[in-house]
Amino acid sequence: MIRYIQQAWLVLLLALVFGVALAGVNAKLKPMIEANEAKAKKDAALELVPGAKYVEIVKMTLPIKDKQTEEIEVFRVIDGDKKLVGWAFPAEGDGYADVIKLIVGVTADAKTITGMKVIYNQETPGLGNKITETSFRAPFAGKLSLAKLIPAKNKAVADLGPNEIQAVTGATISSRAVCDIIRRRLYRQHLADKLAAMSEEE
Amino acid sequence: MPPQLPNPTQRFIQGILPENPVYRQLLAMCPTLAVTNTIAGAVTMAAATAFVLICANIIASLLRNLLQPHLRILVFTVIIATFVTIADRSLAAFLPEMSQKLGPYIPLIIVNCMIICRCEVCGSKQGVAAAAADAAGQSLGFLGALLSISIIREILGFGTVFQGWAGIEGAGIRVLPESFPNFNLMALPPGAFFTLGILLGVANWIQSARAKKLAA
Repeated sequence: MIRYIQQAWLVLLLALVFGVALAGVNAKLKPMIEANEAKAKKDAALELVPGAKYVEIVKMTLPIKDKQTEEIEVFRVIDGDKKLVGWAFPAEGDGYADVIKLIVGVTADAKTITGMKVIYNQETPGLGNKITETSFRAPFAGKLSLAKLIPAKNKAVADLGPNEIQAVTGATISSRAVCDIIRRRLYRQHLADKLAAMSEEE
Repeated sequence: MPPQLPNPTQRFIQGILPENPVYRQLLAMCPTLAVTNTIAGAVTMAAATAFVLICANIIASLLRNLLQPHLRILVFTVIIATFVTIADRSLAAFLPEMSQKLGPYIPLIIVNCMIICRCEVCGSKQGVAAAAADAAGQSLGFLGALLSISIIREILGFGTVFQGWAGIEGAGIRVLPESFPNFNLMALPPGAFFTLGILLGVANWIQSARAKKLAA
């Protein structure tokens, strides 16, 4: 035993010293990292809902399969007079390469989508990556929140049906993933109904 | 009589071209291929690697007389892992978008052969001045290599430069006209391999031309 310590003392000492140093670095940087994530979501919420001035965070519990639930933070978006102008909520799901994380904005009665923004993706650069561009995001505004959105190929924006958005050429899976992620939150997890109920109470 | 090890100035100069980590030692291939589709990504990776390499080399040099031969790799790894974690968390705190773009490749600096190689070859054998100079030279060489590949890949693949650079608007400065078709392959892994392969061939050709000239 003594022999092992005689040989390994440096490794053990370094592990201890560096471990403490890293704990210190983490303690200092973790608040900044979490603040960055929160700010990105808040900025997205303010951008997506017209007339937005401030956001308040509301915790909500949504059902997932097998009687389990998940807790998410929904943004209650208000204007300068503290009147409710809309809601913004996070949604995520599997894309082509990795998870896709979105923030989606809806009107105060939660009946219409006001916009969506991709805040995290690892989709193929130049292809699936285009879901972050304004040209892909634009058709989402004005769609009904309970609509089953489908990506339409080779259609001009003016020709899109009420349930259609423009698919990214060569990235059907990424385009469809975004639609599915939104549908899951608003329809299958009943978020649209819940938000409508909450705005009725105001 | 053991061979004389290069002095700090020689170490520095060697690292830039003659012993370039990518084009001559063929190390650090993974980040070279992965993050060079934009210039901003390449520069961030080079900066993070430089930070880790310089710090790790200096610490290894300070500890060189305490290293046990059969445990030295373990010690290097502990040192490198610590600095990589600091670099990774700092990036997530101060440059969140870049951190997200580089994804898993920053933590992967821990297994970047270039760093452990320099610790082994120079850091554990020479004084702090030589170790620091060696790390600086190798880092510059790495930066040069990454820039050479990323300039080609970004201009051909996206038509822009400095896309994603914090400060300049995210889309970068357009260099090729919009009408010019984007060579999409350049933004993807195959483009990385092609570009690296061709540039490696060019580097080898330059080297052999110089050798012939010296021999003549």
